[in-house]
Amino acid sequence: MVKLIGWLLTNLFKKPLTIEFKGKSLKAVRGTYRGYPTHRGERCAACRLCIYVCPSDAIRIEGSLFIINKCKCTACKDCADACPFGAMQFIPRLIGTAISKNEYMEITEIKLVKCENCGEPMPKPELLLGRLLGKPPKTIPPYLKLCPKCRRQFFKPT
Amino acid sequence: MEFLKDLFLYPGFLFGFVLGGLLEGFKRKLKARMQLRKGPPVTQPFYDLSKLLLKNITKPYRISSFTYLLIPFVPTAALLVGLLIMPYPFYQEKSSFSFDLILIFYLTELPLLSQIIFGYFSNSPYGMIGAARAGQMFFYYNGVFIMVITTLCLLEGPPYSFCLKSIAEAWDPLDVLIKILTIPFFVFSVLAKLKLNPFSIPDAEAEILKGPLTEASGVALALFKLNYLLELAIFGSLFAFFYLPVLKTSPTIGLILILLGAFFLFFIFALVENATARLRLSQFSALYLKFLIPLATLILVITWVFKNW
Repeated sequence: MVKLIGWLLTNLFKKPLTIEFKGKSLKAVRGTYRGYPTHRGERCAACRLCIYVCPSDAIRIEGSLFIINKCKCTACKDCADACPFGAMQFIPRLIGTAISKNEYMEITEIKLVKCENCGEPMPKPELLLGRLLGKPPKTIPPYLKLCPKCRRQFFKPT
Repeated sequence: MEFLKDLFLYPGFLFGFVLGGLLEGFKRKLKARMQLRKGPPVTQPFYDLSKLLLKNITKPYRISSFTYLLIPFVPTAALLVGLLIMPYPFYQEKSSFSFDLILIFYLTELPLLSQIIFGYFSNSPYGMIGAARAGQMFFYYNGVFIMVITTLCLLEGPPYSFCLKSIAEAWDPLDVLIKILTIPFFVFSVLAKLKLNPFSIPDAEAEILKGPLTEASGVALALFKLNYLLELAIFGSLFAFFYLPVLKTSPTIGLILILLGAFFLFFIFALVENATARLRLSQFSALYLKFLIPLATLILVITWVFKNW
């Protein structure tokens, strides 16, 4: 007992044996750490491809809100590979403990434009054109500013 | 206005909360350093409390939420009063309380009683086992604590009044000797009162989870933790009042002495906690019945004989 107390008291003046966690700073892990997905609302066309490919059901769309559940996400990067517009990006940012569950939910708004005729929300025409042409378009033809339904009404194929 | 200031600032809530939190953090840090670990920061108890306040309450099925919150709240109020009836420097001159030790003793028992009630109330088997163990321990260590208090209040000479102020002011050579003799008994009874390691029988981790507090969560658990911090502050300063010349010096030095005494007590606690393992209930009762209570009684009798000759 006396020996034990002697050890304890001498331990007080020794350096702790704890080894610091190597991934404490981002620089140390940047090479191997993929990070977690972030969503860019202005590039999203709400095509739901990411939801289709996600193996862990971490993504859902409610109305115009795009919600990523980081608790479920396994950082497999399938969504970013599948996205045709590059709206899903992986940022190697560390996430630690959180006070509430909501801190693990990343909620962004999908920026959709409205059809000029009926007001139905639809994806941005320049996104589709850019995907089609391979470069950002200079001018947007007027029929692309309408939703598919209205387009069929106004520009009937002859 | 003056009373509210006393209640919430200096001897009351803020002082007790900060002192208790720092004592707990200091103890955890020391414990870690003795085991060659790094340990949490000293302010960790405050982080824990603030996080608990934001958490949801998950309470057992069919239990009223009013009682669930009332049980931990009553001892908080009691402990605040307990802090107010201690003769802290800068406060004791203007206070109209009589600094009664029996009242302090009674008020510091309320957290434990509330934990026992909570353990039975929460309908959890772990809670009930913890509460039963706490209820059995209660009689043993309080016997020793009462002996210590009685011995100390014999020091002031008749009429015996159990006044903390007169105990703190008794500093004859014989008084000092008797005070030193009672230190181990005080330390052992307070260790058991605070459920620290050799006596952590009621909330034995890894055995019965968290004992009586197994079902406490959110604000209720935060209140229980707050009670614990206030208790630490009360017992730390009680140690200083008993065994250091706090009221014999100027108020500033007295306050510093109180802090020093409290931190020294928790240094001893960290040492004892690291050096011992948890006892069984039978070993605990044997230790108290065979050794501590008879020895404490012997010291009481010796003191009485010396003082009345």
